[in-house]
Amino acid sequence: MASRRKWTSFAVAMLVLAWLAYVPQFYGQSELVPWSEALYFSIAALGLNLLTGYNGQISIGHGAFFGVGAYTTAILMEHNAWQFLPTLPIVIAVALVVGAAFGFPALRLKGLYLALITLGIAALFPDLVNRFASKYGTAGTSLIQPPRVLAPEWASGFAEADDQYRYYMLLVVGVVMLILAANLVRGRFGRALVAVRDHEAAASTLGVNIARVKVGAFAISAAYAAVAGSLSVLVNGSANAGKIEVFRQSILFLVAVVIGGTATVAGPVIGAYVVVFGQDFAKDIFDDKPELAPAVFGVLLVVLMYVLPDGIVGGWRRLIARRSRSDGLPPLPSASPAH
Amino acid sequence: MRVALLEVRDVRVQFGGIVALDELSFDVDTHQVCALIGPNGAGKTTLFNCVSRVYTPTRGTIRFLERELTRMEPHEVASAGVARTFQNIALFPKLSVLENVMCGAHSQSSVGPIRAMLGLGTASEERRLRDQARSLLARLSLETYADRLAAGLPYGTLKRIEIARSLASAPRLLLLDEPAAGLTHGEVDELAATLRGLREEFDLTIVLVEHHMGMVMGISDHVVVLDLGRKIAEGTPAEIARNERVIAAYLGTEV
Ligand SMILES: Nc1ncnc2c1ncn2[C@@H]1O[C@H](COP(=O)(O)OP(=O)(O)O)[C@@H](O)[C@H]1O
Ligand SMILES: [Mg+2]
Repeated sequence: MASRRKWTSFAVAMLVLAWLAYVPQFYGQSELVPWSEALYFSIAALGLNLLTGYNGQISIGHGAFFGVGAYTTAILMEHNAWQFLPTLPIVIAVALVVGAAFGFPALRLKGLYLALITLGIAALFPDLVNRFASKYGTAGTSLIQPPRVLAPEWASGFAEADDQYRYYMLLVVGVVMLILAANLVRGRFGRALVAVRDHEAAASTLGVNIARVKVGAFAISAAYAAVAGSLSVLVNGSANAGKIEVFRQSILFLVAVVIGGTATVAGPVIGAYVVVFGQDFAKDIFDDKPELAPAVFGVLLVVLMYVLPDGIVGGWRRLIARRSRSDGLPPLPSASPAH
Repeated sequence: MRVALLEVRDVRVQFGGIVALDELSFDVDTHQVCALIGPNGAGKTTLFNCVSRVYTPTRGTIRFLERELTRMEPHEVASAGVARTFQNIALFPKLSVLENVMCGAHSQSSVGPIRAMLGLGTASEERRLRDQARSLLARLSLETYADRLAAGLPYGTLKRIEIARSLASAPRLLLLDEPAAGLTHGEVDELAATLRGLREEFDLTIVLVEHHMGMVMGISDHVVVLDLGRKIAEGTPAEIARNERVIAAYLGTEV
């Protein structure tokens, strides 16, 4: 039974992957943008889910870590003439350090207080960037536009256009990040994340080093957000840190995690696609009144959360559980975080 | 001179104005079942919390295998060989029963996040932990619950799952906080038999906090009686049953 479910999930994942690989052949250049955005959004949401979903530490500040990644890549490419891919290890290293630096003070905070402090990070980040990055940016601003990544000769078989090639880079990095996250939550560290979330005293009695797990979760999730930010440079051709944008992104990452299903592997990815395409959808409904789009998107989120309080993956699992009960088979656990 | 496995010396715990433990000293010998009894609020759980380093005593020392527990970090206690259960069940409700027991073996494994992400040798390690957890569940007749979530099972079952989880760290010393609370008479007898068996099988030393006097008297080698944070008596179960102070302070008509 359990192995049949595993194979079903595997088959579904392969189908989805095949479709995502086909997307650049199917859509034109402008239509490809949201698909690329959804990929880097997925990565940020995957990382935030490790922190918030699995470890129970809320962050409304991951837009800042996203920005750290975007700027690290943009500066290295623009001013040090680096290729894109070699910037990723640097981005990860920087974000791990910055994430851990925020993880330590977070040890003393919980729930709403942590949410508020991380919100503060998102609010402060654009000011910091304006101070330090404006010497790199265009005309003294913090906007940095490094050279675009172009499709190499060898890729012409599947990606003639540059944006197609960039999409495939995103897809490969995204799949790798997903596999790494899935591996992480499946084993000892993943159980420790959940144990710390649900009962700190019991977890520490079992030998879990609470501080190390919490700071580790912060650092790893910051690295995910930063890789996402780095990839956003690939898509948008620039790194920027508008006050509203950093704030908005921070919230949307959290929305993606919650909508998709916290503490599930697939949830944040599904949530990221809902967030990206939901906003497009909201724009299209009243396309003569773009100012209504956020409201429409908001209503969409409220309805989704009302119908699926434990997210899309949670709702799906409940559906399966009900189906297998009516088959006369024993009920499956309604939500198991580890798969 | 014989050295005790657990040595509690002059332990005092103060919460603001409340003195939860006062000048408490006693020894637990290897392979003993030592019962810690006393009315509610006597400080029994507080002592467990000191041993497992949830609290730090205001004064005094606790030595285990001649190591100073009071100087250890909370997460170091498990690998030192001490495991416990909680008075109010402290399982992880969103993990399966099997995963809960695998969590118990956290100190028995060392796979960190980087190795886990890259999947380096983790499959065989997970298999080892899973097999060990399964056999512990089987040992406590819990194998049918392995894939269920730990939330929503009957109270007595949850208590036994917690015992299974605590055994997963291969402890020398097991602290059980009211394991028989909420069990029926039949279940209490069964639990006592299980604990006796586990002690032999895993060469355990057990400190047992329990209100169920029948079980305490039947299973313990040594009894320590607390009242309002102070030790008022200790001795064999027979001695305790005869002790005037104990009868007055606590046992009343129960024995
Ligand atoms: N964290 C705490 N803060 C304040 N008082 C506490 C705390 N833990 C225990 N106490 C107090 O210490 C005393 C002993 O409690 P406890 O050890 O739980 O007793 P027992 O387990 O014997 O019933 C009680 O008066 C209790 O209220
Ligand atoms: Mg108690």
